Amino acid sequence: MTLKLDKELMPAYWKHTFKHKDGELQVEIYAGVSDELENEGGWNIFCNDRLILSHDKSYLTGWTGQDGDGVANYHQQFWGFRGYVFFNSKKSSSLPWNTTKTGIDPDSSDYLAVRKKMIEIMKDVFLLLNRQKKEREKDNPVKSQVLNNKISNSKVVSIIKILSEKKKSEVKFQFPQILNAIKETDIKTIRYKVPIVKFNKVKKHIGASKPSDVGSKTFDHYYENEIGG
Amino acid sequence: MPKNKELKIRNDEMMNYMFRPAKNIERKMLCEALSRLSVISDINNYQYVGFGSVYFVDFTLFHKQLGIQKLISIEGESEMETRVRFNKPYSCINVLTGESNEKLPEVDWKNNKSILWLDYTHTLQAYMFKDMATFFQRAKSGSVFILSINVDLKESEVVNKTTTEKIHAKLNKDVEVRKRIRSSDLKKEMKKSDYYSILRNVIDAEAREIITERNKLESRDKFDYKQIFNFLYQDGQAMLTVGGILFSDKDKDKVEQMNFENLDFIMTGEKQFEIRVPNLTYREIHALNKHLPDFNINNEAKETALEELRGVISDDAIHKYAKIYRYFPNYTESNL
Repeated sequence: MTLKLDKELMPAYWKHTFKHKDGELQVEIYAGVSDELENEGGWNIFCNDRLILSHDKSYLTGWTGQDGDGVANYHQQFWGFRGYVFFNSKKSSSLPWNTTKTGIDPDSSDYLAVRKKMIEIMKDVFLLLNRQKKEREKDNPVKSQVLNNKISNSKVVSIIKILSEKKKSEVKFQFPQILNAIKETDIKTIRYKVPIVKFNKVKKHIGASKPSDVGSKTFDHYYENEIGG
Repeated sequence: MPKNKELKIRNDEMMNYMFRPAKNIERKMLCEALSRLSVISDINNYQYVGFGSVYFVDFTLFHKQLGIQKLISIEGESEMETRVRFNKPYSCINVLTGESNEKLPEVDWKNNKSILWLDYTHTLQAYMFKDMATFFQRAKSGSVFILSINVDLKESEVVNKTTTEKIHAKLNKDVEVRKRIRSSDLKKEMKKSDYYSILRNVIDAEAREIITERNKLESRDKFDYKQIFNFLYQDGQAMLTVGGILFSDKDKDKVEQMNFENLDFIMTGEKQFEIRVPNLTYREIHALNKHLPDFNINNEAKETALEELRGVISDDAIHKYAKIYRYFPNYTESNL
């Protein structure tokens, strides 16, 4: 369980104490990005240090899809997302877990308020993930992807280490304000017609799956050999 | 904003935004109400967030009339970006290209009080609730929320059906909207005004629900919301604008001092203020102006005016004009 950390890459930190008549419930959230691994992304929720929900990408933690109150459904673009919620209370009955203490009580009033906060924090982290996606589009060469490279090279820190360096005040998620995406105006579309027999031969020869790949690969071949670079 | 190229192009071709008289009046009324925000804070502490398109009419008005220096326009059509940037009238306007769901979280809600106008062209849909959540979860006390939606029933797929059936067809289109409707609002027989009220109630309840959740996490000041706008207008398509002010306990007295209620067009409940623009000649306008505002204040003046203009202007047109005369647009041809 990790988060990436760097000079310009700071995980979000938020805390709150619910003061109820029968006791207090403390909640802390850390959220940001880490390595883009399908099974690692999502929310992890702890109650008194016990992990009760791991790598969750469901409605319960705000991944509602387009029509719900939360964010989009989990897919490749969001593999880098990591969120950690720590509920702590001296009274076990104040924690938002179910009766068997094995999962979140989805009707807990405290949890529902925290869930809304988790959604807002995800929206902040998605600003970075959306930009990373944008920078990868339109065949942008990896070496030109300055934001993606910066994130890839940021150091990965375990959540245990981050927890040991306790923060006092809330921090909004921060990320490097750089981007080198290919703009629409930097692109030219080429359209031309070729005999289908010749097309199929070239397609097979270069192992392309779509006509657009045949076009771009033959162009790249010409560029490398005749122009250079 | 989901991409809807067809609608956008049609909008561009239909009419220049500046010449939509009802919208023009609404904008001026909003501006007059917003000028009261100076009670709560120097207007320089406010930022305006809206959808400027290529005309930036609201941006120009709020910059010139209110003095707002920080303005953010969200443009959903990436292919329009170059044109939008060319048409940006002032250097203090920042254009963010992308959908409102994605771009609103990028706005700095923490260090500025905000005026947000989600001037959608679509009917009420699920994605708009996400934009509402961004505002009501984050905006500072004293911030103003405005949302406009299309409420036209003419283009409903259900042709030649009753108004009630058309309303049901519209409301059933979006599951997220449908599930937010109070069952008591769905009457057996419904009029257009019932449809507008249902949508207003959905928006109002959504705002209050988000605030309730936010308040659970606010240790000190609790937030509240007061609706001040509920406009219905039509320059072609019927549009509904609902909005209000978000404030914390500590600013409650200041909101009272703003005295919004003494403006005729302020609507704090289900009832809409209808902007209806009569077709009048300049001579008729001048003749009517001589009786205003007395016409609106005492019955004797009203009778005199109606008598004087009988046969020239219908009583209905006179009443419509008297309601909006201070904001009535004057169009003249000029070489700029």
